[in-house]
Amino acid sequence: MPDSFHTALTEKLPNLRRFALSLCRSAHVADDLVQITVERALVARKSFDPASRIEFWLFRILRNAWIDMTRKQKVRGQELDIHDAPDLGGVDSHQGETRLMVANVLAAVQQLPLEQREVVVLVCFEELSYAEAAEVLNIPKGTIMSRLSRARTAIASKTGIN
Amino acid sequence: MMDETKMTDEILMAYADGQLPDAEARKVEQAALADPALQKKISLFTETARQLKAAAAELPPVPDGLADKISTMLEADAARSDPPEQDNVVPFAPRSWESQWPAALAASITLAIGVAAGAALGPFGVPETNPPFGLVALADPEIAVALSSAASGTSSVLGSGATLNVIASFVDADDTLCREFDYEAENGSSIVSVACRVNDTWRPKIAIAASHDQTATFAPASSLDALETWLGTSGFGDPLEPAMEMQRLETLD
Repeated sequence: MPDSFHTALTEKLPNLRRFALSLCRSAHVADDLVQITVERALVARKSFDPASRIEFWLFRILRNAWIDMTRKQKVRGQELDIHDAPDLGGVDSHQGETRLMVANVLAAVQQLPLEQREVVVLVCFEELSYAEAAEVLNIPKGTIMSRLSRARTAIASKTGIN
Repeated sequence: MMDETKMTDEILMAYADGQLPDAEARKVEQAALADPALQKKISLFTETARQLKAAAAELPPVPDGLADKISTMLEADAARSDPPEQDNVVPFAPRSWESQWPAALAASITLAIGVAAGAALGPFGVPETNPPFGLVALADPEIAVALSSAASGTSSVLGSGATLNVIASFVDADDTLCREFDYEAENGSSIVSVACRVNDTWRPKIAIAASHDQTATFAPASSLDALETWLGTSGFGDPLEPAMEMQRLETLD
């Protein structure tokens, strides 16, 4: 009998990986983060409230794993590799102008500072509410709103949206 | 009627995202009616939301290597546990995130334990008989040995099966050498601690439980925030450079 928790975890892997990529911009590190997140989720399974959205819970675990990782990296004086920044988008099936716009928007997101990028991914890609994003990132809702509005103003000017 | 609320970008964006309470949304609409600049801003936020959503429609594919590793982990997990039974567990008093948060915050604060000056990391095979605050893990005598020799950034597996990661070295305002490390016991529990070299003994100054099973209640990040705060207020400078650290370790007794 398939385990519903396992099924839900597997379904959310692409979302977890995209969030991880938006944090670290390294495919290698993102994969490690997703793996750590699944490990921790399995251990902490009993504390998951099935009435809530699993991705919200998983994003939070992933973000904490990232903090643990960067904290150690920072004091060890090592730098994460940000040069092989992979695309946040999927295999592109869009046509013509739409396709160009999608590519431009994704490029603009990649260029945002981390603190804005993670908010954009959670709210605009993963469709979390401001309040949910605030809990995942452990910052006040007002900070979410100011980072997000700055990010979107920057995206608009880079991509010619007005 | 004059605006009572200043129409900031944040408010206009929240309006465009449908995240304003009705009463406030009505105020934005009223203000925008007579103000083309506000209408333009709102349309900027509506349009960026739409474009971002379109860009997000296709997720980057999960590489096969990662998918394989995860499915192996899930199979191992299924073999360990008894899924039907677990699925029947009714969560005891399920709570909303809102009500969990203050409890988690409180828990993370109580996890930050200032260790009394009397506690020493048992030197060379002489464990403390009564570890303070039940911090049995920190009585492992091999911790002191590793702290006196291992460079920051290195990990070692101790005789007990635990892993000791030495994270960084600092000196305090009195030039006392202190080292931050994390001690991961075999059962997955983890303690992050800072110990200082006083009277030829490593004495823990702070210890924070950061075990993996607390991940879901989010203790690790917030408790590590507590550690950062403590480091920041305890007169420590930046972590020592490797060469400086090596020099300090070599001069230990």
